[in-house]
Amino acid sequence: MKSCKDVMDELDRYIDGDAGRMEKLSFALHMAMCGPCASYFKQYRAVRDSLQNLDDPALPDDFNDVMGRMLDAVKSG
Amino acid sequence: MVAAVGGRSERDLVTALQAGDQRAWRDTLETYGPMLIGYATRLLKRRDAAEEAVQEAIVSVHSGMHRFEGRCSVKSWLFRAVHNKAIDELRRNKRYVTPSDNEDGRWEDRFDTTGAWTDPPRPWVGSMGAQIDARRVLEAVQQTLPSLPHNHQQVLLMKEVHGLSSDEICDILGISSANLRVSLHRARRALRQAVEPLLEERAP
Repeated sequence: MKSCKDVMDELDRYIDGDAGRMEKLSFALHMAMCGPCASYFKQYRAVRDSLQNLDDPALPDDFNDVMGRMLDAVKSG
Repeated sequence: MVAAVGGRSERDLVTALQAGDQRAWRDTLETYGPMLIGYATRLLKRRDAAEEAVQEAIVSVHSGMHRFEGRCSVKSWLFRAVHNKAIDELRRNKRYVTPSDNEDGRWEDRFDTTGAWTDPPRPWVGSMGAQIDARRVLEAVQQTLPSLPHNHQQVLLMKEVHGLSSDEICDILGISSANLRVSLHRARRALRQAVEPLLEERAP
């Protein structure tokens, strides 16, 4: 039987879809029975998901000029 | 999976870049430029410094293109050059933040010797119902991510923000996939830890 710490140390296997069927089952069972672990998992996943929704830093207004300057640098480099 | 640049196969792209084909260079910069500038801007926090790092990286990639042997993708090759320039810049200005020595120790302390929680997580704002308030989490992450140690920021930016594959990140950082798994876990854990004070439910 895995401890809470064992399960929490392996969270990425579930997050990244690397866990096998039996692992997923035992993970789901642990989450159903353990409030603190379920709570931590929910928070961990929410933080990770939020990273995929960060706004991109706005590109420079003169992005094409910037690329042009880089190409010029390449040509003369 | 490598995105095609200007409809070329990776092999054709490399041949064209090595031959100094200006069209191929332009297509490459148009494809990867926004991502490279975005990454450098997030890491350096200054647009001018980011543009300079990207420009220097591209010049050095261009002059070293004949040495490119195709062991990784052009995208990883470029990204690695930008990453190295950005980290050099941070180190030169003494702005490179390393993790505290006791990061793992603090995590271990949250459990007893049997691996049971001694310091369980407290609920977060808005989590008493169905879902954690994603908007609040996003705001907290935006606020705290730039202050994380840079080795955490770099893997989170590459993996989660820019969607690079694990193989690409391993090529860029020159680490094994086992090392990447450990780094990513520590980084995600550190970010969750960093946003915790902003999101914990306060007792009424």
